[in-house]
Amino acid sequence: MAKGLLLTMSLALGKSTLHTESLRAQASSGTLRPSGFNMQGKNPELIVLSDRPLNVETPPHLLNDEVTPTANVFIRNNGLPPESVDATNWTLTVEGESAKTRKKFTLADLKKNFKHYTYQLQLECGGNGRGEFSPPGKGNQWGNGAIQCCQWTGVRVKDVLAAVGVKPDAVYVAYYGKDRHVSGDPEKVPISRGVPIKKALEEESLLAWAMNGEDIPLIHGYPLRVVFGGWPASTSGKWVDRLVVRNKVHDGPKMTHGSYMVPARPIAPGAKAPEDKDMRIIESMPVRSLITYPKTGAILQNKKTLKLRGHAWAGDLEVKEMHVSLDFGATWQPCQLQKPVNRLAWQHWNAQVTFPSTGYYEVWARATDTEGTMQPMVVPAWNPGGYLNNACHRIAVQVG
Amino acid sequence: MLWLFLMVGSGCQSQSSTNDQQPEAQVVESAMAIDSVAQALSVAPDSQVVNGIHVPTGLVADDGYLLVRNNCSNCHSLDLVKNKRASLEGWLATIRWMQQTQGLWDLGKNEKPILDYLAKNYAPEDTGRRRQLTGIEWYILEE
Repeated sequence: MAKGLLLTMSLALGKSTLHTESLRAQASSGTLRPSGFNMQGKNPELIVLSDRPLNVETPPHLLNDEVTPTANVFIRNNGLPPESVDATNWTLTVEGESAKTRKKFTLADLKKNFKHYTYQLQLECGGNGRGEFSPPGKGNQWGNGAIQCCQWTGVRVKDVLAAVGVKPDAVYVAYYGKDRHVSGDPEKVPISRGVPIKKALEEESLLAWAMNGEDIPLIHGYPLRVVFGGWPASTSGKWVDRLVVRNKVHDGPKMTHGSYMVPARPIAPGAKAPEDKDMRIIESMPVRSLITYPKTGAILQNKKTLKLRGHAWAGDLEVKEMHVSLDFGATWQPCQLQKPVNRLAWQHWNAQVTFPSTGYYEVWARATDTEGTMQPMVVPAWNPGGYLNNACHRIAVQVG
Repeated sequence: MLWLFLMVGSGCQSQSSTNDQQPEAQVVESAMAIDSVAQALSVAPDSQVVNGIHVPTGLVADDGYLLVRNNCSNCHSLDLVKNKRASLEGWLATIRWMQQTQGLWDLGKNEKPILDYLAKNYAPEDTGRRRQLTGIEWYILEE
């Protein structure tokens, strides 16, 4: 009976060639997808953590490019994208207690009336690396691949705010977008976050319509999003139609109840989550790096040297030094590290290592930021939301 | 194919009958929104269990899994259940958070069996400060 049902289900999935064994494997591994599932043009090697809302991560070896190709960019959604977008009639309203006026701009107004800027900006999910916390943090169990560095084009948030006027008591700038809540309740806002006014006024803070030289894809916020490089990517709202200049810390959904917050004072692993008043909102992301070449699991035959490549970033800061270790952190070898092409872009590094013998090795990578802070070798301070795990990236290598 | 449609129809009925705490409007909405494997194929559920896994949803087919399917998959993917690990208290905190902020309904008498199921089948294991590298797919590096 089960076999017959599986066959029927294969037909229902619209894939008559889908074998029952494959279906079973997909179900038990969690990779079974609904019949209408759409990878949104992504590289099929990306890992789907959740199909509704869509959350997809990039394996580190697919982040080897200096600028992340759109097909390899991770997806983090709290809600569902708007069903249809009319870019021609898209408007951005800027208002709020600390806005001197209320102004509405069409997308064409923004493009016509303000100077355009293009920057490479690293955007990392606040929960990147969450999957390693023990006990587990709440939310998508990301590996290491919720990071990207794309080229973004748009206008400066500060230029648009200047056109509206900002009162001296401004504290926060927050976004609202046209995404839909997963519950289907049209009154519910899936996410509305923001940044302190100081961050909003930085030169690299953009209202962007282009990603890697093309219209931003729908799943990444078409036709307009904010981009705040170096901060939790949840501050870079998508499908944005409203900016609010607040006279207090913004209180939209996902700004409270512990979202994107860590305890103000360290707590023991598994301890009860403190009240929001005893938490701090995550701002600049911590120093981190990835080994993007080779892919983990490399077997070296007839040689003991290996060329390594990767990227490193440090939120609002720069990365000062990059090291790799072949002996679990006992000794470290410096890497060649490039400067960022612009502020808040990730930096590329490379190294050549020689393994002392045949056998099983791990390559560990460690970045140090301009304040001297290094990546930890073990998972850092436990927190209920499982944020900010910047433990060193490791790949496995078999020599001989 | 007619047989299939009949089966899907009966699945929708079983969904509304097992989920008696769910508001009427939600049942109608979920039955009409055939956007997940679980909903499209909610046919005679127990016969779709293979090796202890409910194949269409991938849930562990232990007591209470249909309650989890019916109450959790209306808003979000069951991946969010299957990929999560938490103690009973942790699962309860998540349910309360969803009720306070995300529009989840009162689970009523289904809450306890749902919590028991989740805490038993999706419990955390202590992996310490750093786990071993696992699941490595070895390949010969050609350069």
